[in-house]
Amino acid sequence: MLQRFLDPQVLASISSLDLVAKTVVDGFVAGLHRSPTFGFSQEFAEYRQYVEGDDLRHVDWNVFARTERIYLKRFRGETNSQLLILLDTSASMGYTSGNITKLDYGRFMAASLAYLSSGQRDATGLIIFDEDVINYVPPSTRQGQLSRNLHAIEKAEAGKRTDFSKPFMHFQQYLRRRGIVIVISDFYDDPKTICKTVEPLRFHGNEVVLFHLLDPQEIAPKFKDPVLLVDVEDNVAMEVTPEYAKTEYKQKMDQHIQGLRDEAARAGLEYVFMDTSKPLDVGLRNYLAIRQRRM
Amino acid sequence: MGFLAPWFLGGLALLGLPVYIHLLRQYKQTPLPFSSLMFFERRTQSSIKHRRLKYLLLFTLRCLFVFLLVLAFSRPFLKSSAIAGATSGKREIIALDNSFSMRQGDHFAQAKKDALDAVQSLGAGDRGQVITFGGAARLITEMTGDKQALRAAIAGIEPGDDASSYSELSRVLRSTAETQKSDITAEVFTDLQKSSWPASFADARLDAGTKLNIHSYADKAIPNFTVESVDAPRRVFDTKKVRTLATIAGFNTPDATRTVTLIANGKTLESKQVKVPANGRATAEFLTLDAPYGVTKCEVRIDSADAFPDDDRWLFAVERSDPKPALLVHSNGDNASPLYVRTALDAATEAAFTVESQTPEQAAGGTLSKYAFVILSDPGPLPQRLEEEIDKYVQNGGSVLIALGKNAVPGAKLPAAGIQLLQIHTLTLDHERPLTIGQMDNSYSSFGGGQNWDGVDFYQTAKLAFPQDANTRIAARLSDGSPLLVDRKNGEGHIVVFASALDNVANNLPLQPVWLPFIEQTTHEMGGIGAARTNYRVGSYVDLRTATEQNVPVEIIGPDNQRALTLSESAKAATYQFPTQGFYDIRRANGREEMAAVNPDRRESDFTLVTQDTVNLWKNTGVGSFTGTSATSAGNTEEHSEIWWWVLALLAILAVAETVVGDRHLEPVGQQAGRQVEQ
Repeated sequence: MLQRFLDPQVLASISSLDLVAKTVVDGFVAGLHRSPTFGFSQEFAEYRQYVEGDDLRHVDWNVFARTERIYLKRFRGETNSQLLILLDTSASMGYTSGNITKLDYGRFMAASLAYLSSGQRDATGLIIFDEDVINYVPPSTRQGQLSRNLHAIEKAEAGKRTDFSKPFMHFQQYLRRRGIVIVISDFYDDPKTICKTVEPLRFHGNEVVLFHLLDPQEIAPKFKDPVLLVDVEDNVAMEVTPEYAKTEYKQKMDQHIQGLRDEAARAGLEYVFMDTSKPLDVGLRNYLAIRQRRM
Repeated sequence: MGFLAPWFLGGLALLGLPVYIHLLRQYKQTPLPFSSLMFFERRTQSSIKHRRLKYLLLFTLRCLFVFLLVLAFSRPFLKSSAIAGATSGKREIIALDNSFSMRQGDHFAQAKKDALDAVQSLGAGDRGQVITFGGAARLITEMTGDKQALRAAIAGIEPGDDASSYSELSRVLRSTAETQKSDITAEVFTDLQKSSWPASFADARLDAGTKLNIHSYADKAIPNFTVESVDAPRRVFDTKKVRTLATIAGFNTPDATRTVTLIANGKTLESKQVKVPANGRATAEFLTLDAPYGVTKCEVRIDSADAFPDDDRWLFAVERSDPKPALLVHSNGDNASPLYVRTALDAATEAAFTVESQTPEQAAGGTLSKYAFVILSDPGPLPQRLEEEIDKYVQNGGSVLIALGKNAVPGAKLPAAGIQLLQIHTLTLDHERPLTIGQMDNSYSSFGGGQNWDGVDFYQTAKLAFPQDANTRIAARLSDGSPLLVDRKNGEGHIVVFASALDNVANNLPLQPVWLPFIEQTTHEMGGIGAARTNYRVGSYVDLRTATEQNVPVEIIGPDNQRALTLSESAKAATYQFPTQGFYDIRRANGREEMAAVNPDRRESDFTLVTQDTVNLWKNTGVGSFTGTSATSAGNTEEHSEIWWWVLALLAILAVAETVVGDRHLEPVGQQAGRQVEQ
């Protein structure tokens, strides 16, 4: 049952993105435990008698006035975690060999993460980019943040070509608190360049996760006949034989994936490879694992 | 394998079309969008090969389609060895003479028996065909190895009444040799009559490879008397004025006296003795024919006392009726033309008409429908009522003879004819020579029998203007080229315009001998007497209907009192061929009933034989082997079995296959692009 709700083919038939996210997350996360730490937030947790050394700012003076006893008012602890989702909407993300494009898969992924983190009281932000920043939703825990994120994700459409360097230079200014940065992209670029571009995000104490989305046809193309392939980003056409696609292309793609994985590890980035024909739980599970590790 | 229309093979050039479409035409490949080409390299060296292989099946189907289409048009045939093997035996034509002369003695029975023996002698693999040539040659069976069918066909042949013809037999043998494309053997069972031999020897020529075996049933010419012909009137109006002339012929006979008997409706009317000279002819004349009113079946019979009594009688039919009234309209002062016309008709052999003479005013008071014909003998201007009556009379099938003389009014239109009188030209004796007849259409009924118009002078003639169309026939012209006798069809009837008067003033025709036959034949034609024949020969044709009588049933009752025509023939047949002798009752579409007497061709009564030298020459024309273009030697004949329908069937299957395969390549672009990716 769980698998069914995470199947991208099933999710593609759901028109509402928040419903998609709710379906995914509710199906995946059953009984997520609350934060074990108490902090300073708006949700009341308990009263505790004052002991020496406690911060007087947390004394509930109303209780003191009524009872002449000093009690501290305790609230649900902030996780102090911030999630920033970077969704690549370059033209290549619009490719699909089946029913669901990489961009759709990425949108489902981003929506589900936003929903999930929202449930965790994490401040969730969103950056939509291709060769430039298309949309930015600052991380926040305010009411309606989930809707803003989902709305931004909803509007995301495949745009121009990918250029990591340009938008990532700007990302620095958006990251003021340490948190988790998730980059969802197909990463059609040199792994070193990618990691070199993304690596600065870590310097603020962020955990950076690269979600590498690829269509099955991109991973292992299967053509019956020679085909004329047209690059969706620059419209360059090239005639490709099935033999080449089966052998050399596959080899190059594997090298690219491995190179990206290695470069990410070297740069301290988390790398998650995702096949768009596979369920979404891989991504969610990775996010939760990282978050758990940070607590 | 061969082709009946090999020039269509030129259409194989169309094979270039699928080659062009599949291999030469610039290949258009549907672009397939892909996310990134950063891991691809341009490799085109094997692309063309794969393109060609991609539509190989479709290409093959289309090439085959074009090839088979061309093949079907060129009409291929197989020279099947199986067929050749089955037909490797000899081809034998069994030709049976069933003409009238074969009725003599037991000739025909003997011929049938020998023909059956010939069938029996056919070996395994031999094939035979039965034909008859008593009259027009008829193929009774196809070339077959089925002896039972051949025997049944021979048993069903009956002796006929027609005349045999060796030229007809030779024509069929030539045609068969050409069809079979092999040597053939003809077993001919006949009595070898010289009268059946064609006038030109070339007509009896055989193709090389035709072996002729003649089985003759007459070793010498037998003497035979026959009634060769009978000349009797078709209609009898006065039994005392009927002249029946019978010609008695003897073939290979000595001097002899024969009794000739005239029989009417089975009743002997008169007998006469005639002396027939050796191998000659004699005539017997009967001057009365006491026939009752209506149609009488008559015959002239002789006591031949010879070996062939079947030709001892001659059938003929006469119809007795009262003379029909005819109307002669003349001017008041004209006494000459009634006299001359009446005298001519009274003097005719058959007193078929009684002439009533009336002035235009008298004629205008009566009706014309009771008259056999009407003569307007220069009557001058006619009363309006008479003109209308004449027009109605002609439209309904009546005939009118208009003679134009001094009373005619120049510029007037002749009644019912659409012919205008331009002027009356009168000869001035001092200056001009009289006109004579310049041109005469001997096929016209008025001029039959070789009339001599020399000495006929015309002093006063009418110049006419008439429509030049198919309904107008100029039967005679004067020496100045102007029409003398014009026949114009109007409705169902005829108007005959004589451009002069019927008296001895405008011309001297009534004083000339040709006057009598001219008037007699003209009036007989107009009165409907001379139109139809009553005596026919076996094998001859009779016209059953005119162009205006389509789909009107015609009935013929044969000598056996059975209907001779089927239902469809009765409604559609235009002619009928008399197959046997006897009396035929013909009920025509217009309701008229006629009796036709049909007699065998009297050439069949002459049993003089074809000389042996002629027979040998005839046989020699077939010596040799068949040398047709597609022929092989005897015993190894090839037959063509056309296979174009198999080709068409294959073509239909190919068309379906091409549609199915082609459909896969004609789907929408998106669908096609998606299909390029192997799922």
